[in-house]
Amino acid sequence: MEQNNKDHSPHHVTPVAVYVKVLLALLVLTILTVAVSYVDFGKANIFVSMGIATIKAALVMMFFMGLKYDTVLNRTIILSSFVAVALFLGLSASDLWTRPDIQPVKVAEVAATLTMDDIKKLEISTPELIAHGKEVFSVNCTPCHGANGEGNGASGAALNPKPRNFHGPISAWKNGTSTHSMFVTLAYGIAGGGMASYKSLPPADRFALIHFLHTWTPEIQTASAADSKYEAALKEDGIGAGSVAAKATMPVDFAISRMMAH
Amino acid sequence: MSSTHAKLDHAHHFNSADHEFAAGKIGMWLFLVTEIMLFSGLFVGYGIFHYIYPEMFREAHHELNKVLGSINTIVLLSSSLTMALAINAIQRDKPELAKKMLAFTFLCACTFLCIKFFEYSHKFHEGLLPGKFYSNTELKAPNAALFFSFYFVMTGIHGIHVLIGMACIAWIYIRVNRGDFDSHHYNAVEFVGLYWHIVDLVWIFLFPLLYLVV
Repeated sequence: MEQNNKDHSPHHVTPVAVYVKVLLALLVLTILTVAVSYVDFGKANIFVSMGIATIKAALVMMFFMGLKYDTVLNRTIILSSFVAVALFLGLSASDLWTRPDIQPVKVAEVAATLTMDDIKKLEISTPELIAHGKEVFSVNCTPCHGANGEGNGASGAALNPKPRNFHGPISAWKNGTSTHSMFVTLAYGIAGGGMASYKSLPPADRFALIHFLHTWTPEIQTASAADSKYEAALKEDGIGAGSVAAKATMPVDFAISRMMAH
Repeated sequence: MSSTHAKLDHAHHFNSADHEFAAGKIGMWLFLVTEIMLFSGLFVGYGIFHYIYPEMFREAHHELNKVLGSINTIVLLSSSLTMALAINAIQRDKPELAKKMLAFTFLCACTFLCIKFFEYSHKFHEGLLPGKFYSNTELKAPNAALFFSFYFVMTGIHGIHVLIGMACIAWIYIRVNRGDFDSHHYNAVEFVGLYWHIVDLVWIFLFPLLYLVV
């Protein structure tokens, strides 16, 4: 059978010598691939190694797979797949390569557990704490206690007893209005009532809230049953001698501040 | 005379044998597009995590044997040559030569898988396994298991493709032996050849990415 050398025939017969030369070129390029891997081109490393690999791939496709002598349609078909891969890679890279450098942060370092000294400071009202407390109140408390703390929030309408009106008589307060007892109320809630435990608020936020509420309700430092639970409540937050290590949950405000930073 | 003369020259819905050949080839190239897309998912995944953890990838990849990887590259490249020569032999009506070339291609594939077997055994022994099976204590990076997840899945799926290729090559060998092909009717040989070259092509990219991290 004579060889069919017409390029438009689907049966192009490539000479054996061409095939052998292509293999030799591929072997040389393989040696080059390995050699080049011992040189650090910095950010160009991946382009160098993939560039050489692409040349090898092109040789395999053009000669071993016969694309050089094949129809435009077949070349277009396979090249379209490489275009798709390039898009896939390129769009992924456009995300990754444009991200800011994020260093992992140890939560324990940034949101360290408070000491008793910190607590002593937090027990004293400051304008900053009051301002922060106002924010904490508007986010966490207004649904039940109302925008003005009058106990008329929509979510509290169905509760019995109704949420505390912070402008009302102090005698109505179950636990009293001392800082310690309010801290206990926030930590444990009120049994039999609708007031939930707000352990999820970090202690600093709870103190801020208390100081803010004291702008509506005076603080009366009478000892109450709740006062005696203050030390226990602090221990459960991981503060003070013999305290249980605070659970390794990320404080919500810390998580929010990290999210907002990006 | 070859037995193809007793068969139809081409399926009835094609104009000619050449037409059938050309149409089959388009179909094969379309299938190869899906193979490229399959592996590209793995490559992009690899690229993303290599970018995020460059130190870990660099440290972990040293557990791979560059010599064995290079030998495997040479083995596969040579097998592509012999596969092309097998088709060339059929094109020139030399079925005995074609059989030799197919046999050599098959042997190269066996060699490749044997070397991979040794590589995998070594990793099993060292606890360098994917994901939750990772139990190595030597590597410093805590998430080194991620590299080996990519290594095993990428070379594993590639290895399965090698196995499938071997089955196809064996089948073609049997058919050449039976006299099913001649210089104008060798579609299956051509298409298995194309498949085999893609298997080689994927390895051409896998090798530097996994074995030669700078």
